[in-house]
Amino acid sequence: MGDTTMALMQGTVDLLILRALQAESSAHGYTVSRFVHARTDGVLALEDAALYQALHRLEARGLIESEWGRSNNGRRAKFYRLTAPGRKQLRIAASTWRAYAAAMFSVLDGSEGSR
Amino acid sequence: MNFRRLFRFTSRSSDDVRRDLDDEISFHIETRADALRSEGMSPGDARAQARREFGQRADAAMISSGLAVERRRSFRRLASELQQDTTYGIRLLARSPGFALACVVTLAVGIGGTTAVFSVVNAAFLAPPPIAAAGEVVRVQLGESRTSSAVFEELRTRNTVFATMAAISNARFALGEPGSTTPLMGERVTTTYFSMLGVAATLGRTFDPADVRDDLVVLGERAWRVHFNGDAAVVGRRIRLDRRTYEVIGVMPRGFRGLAAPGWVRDCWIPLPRATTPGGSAATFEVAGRLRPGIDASDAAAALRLTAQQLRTDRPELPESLTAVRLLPVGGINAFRGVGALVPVFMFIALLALVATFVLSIGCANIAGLLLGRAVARRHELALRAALGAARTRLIRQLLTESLLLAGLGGAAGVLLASWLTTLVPVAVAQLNFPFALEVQIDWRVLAFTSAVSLVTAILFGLAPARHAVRVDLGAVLRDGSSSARRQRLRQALVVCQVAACATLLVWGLLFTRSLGNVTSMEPGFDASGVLLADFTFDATPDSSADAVEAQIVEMHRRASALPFVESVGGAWAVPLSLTSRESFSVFEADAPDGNGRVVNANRLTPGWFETVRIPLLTGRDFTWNDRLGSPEVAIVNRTLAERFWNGRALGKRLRFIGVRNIPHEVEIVGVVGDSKYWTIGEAIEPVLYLAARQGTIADGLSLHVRTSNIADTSRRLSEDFARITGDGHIELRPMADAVAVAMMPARVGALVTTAFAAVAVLLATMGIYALISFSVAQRTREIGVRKALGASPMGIVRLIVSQSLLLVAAGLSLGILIGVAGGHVLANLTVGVSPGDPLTIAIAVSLVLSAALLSSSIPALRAARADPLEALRQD
Repeated sequence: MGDTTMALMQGTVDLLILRALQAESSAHGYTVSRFVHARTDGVLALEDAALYQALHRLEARGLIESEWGRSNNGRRAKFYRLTAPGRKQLRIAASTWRAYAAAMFSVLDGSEGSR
Repeated sequence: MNFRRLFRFTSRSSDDVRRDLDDEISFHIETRADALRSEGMSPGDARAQARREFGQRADAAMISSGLAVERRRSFRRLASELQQDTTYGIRLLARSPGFALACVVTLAVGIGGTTAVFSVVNAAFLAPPPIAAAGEVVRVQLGESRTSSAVFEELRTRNTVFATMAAISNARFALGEPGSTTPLMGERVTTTYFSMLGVAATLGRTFDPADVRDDLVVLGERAWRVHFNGDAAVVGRRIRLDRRTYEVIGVMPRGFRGLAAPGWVRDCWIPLPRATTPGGSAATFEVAGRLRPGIDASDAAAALRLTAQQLRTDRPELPESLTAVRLLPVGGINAFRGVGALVPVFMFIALLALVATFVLSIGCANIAGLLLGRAVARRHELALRAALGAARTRLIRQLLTESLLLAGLGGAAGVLLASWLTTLVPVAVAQLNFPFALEVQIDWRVLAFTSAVSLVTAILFGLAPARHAVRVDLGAVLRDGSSSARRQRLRQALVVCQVAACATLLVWGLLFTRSLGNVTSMEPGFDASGVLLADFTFDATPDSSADAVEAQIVEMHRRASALPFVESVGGAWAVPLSLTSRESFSVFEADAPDGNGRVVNANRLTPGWFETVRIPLLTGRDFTWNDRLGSPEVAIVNRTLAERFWNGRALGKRLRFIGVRNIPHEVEIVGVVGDSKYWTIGEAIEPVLYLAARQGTIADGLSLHVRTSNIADTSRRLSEDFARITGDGHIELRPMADAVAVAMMPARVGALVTTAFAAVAVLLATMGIYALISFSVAQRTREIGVRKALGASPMGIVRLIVSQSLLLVAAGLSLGILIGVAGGHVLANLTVGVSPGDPLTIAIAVSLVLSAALLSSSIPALRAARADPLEALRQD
């Protein structure tokens, strides 16, 4: 890890969690953590403490909801799920990010002749 | 937008959260350790590794306290953002003062103007008299509006439905020593009057039903303030009214007017003489009563009808009309039923409500237009801020703060405007030469309503940019400055609606203004100009005989005729169109004993009156001084009466009727005169019966009419002569034209209010049209730049923009005129001599709106045409 890890920009933790829950439909914190780790090849340093803090925050805001259940290994675990406002928020945040990133890309590696 | 979510924080206790977190963390670490073990790590190492990955010091306590910090911080952020938004909003508004001013003025006029008008209408027409539980008090009318003292006494003894009853008789009094008296408007009342109304004096006391003295007086607040300098020591003093002295026992609270209609002033109250002998006195009263608890007006009316029938059986000499019992409320719109003015007053108020709604909606449309225009202008800013990471809720909150800021400023200005306008009205009313005073209080219900409507509009349309700017594809907004077709259509619809509303209001306002012009030029049938009115108040003590008073009046008549400048003199009991006294009788043809009676207006005259007010004598003769008690009873009728009864051939015919004091009369018609208006200028001509004053009691409230070419000189000489004859009493002199002006007041107030509203509407609509058009021109800056670059001339561009705007204006104008004319038909009762489709009215409305539209489209068009095309293209 070390040099290749990047501190997360503010607001991105929430987006990552929402995206993970969209992929997994119903997941506990551990799954979310592994999902982000796997998708980013460990580049984004999502600390577990920050993850749980964000999960509780998102739940308080009504973007996700939770339920206690049994995990595959038979342990008691808290499962999180996206709510309708959460799905909407994910759509909005994702499109904002895409536009933002596209704008950044076009500045960083824009080919001179196109505009 | 979900407001709950904006401000929602977890409702669970921090202990619950911590327990959950504990469980979640241990599950996480165990699961990770399992995974590491399955990769081949020893159980101990796996656990340690899992723990390390999670973070050595990370536990439930730390995370939950992190959450708490976050919550606190978000509270603090909310507060500081609110502050930022407000500062930012103020700075933005300060940067576009034109926009801010337009919004604030619009809101102020919409809220303040509407509220003021409704408050005035309420004070002038609807406000119930300031008495306790006004709903329980009713006026009692038995056939006629006034009741004789005999009937009143009978009613009082037979009463089963009223807790208290009172008789009231208006009277003018002359306050002060002879030679320097001031007129007071007062009432003679039974001593039950104040207890029936349930109002106490602010100073001293009111009448007690047990009072037997009749030399007591209760003063009204205005009289006390104006004539006694508001001196509390007035109580107990003796004051002189007419020829007698009275002891002041109390002063009533400000605004107390008994049962008089809103606006009327009452200065003093004096007890009526105690119950009269069974023969009955001449006096007639208005009767009112407070209903017993649990008895409603219809029960009471039924019971009174029975009482009246019994009374008729017991005393057949009483008129049959007695059994036509009516109980009338003393406040609100229904009070007008009693004076036959319900429909016009209701129509007037309905019209005002409609007009106010129009003004308010124009105001709201303005706000909407202004804010939408601004939304377009701010799309870039908002899109950019959204792209830079500002949360949507944050942007919405910012827009909300700005709208509330505007709405708050506008609302405050509206309240100020309303209170200023309402203070103007009493001052204006005081200018009228009439015992009239209005106390206008702001109607808070109307204020709340208009504020709510305007504020909701401001907030809704203030948030419009949030819906658009925040949701749409950012790239599209940043690339393309032109607005969508949908928005364009919305703006066009707004222009059309605004112009339509403006045109409708203008048509109505003009109808009223022009109808006022007709009213003032309308022929009353007599000529009040150059006529001086002299009202005498003689002593009312029992020792001065009616004959003595009559002799004095005849003497005044003689002396007035002899004065220089005086052309003619005549006395009349009722001054037409002065709204002070009226009289009507049911008359029958003497030769057809079973024929149906007709109700006719009546007046009692001395010789010379027709000549003095220039009512033409068509045939027969005027009264002479020989038409007196004992000589054959004669009458003169107007042309309408002559035609209704005898197809115009009235001379020598005879009429029967029951006159005042229930005395039957039979009169011979000796003359026919031209028609004239009797009570209001707008009325249809009604039959009038003129009687010789000398064949009744001449002393009873005769007004001397004097035609003179020098009113000032005649006034002076007349009052000198009066003082010489009586040495006492009071004479009040005023031009007849002033007295008649009162009849014009309803039409005048109506015209003033509607015209003011129409002017406000035109102003607002012009502002709105200007705002909308200039924003849509601003939208097209780039297009205009292209056109100019391609060689379009500035004039061509102006023509393009103006003609496109005028297309919209034309559509709105036609719609508005249509509505205005259609609505005008509904208002036909209120407008005199102007048809709703009156071409001149429409022409004026059209040209006014067109010039407003032309002005508001050509200014931005010129600005666009002058702009540098390169600059325009570079924009965006």
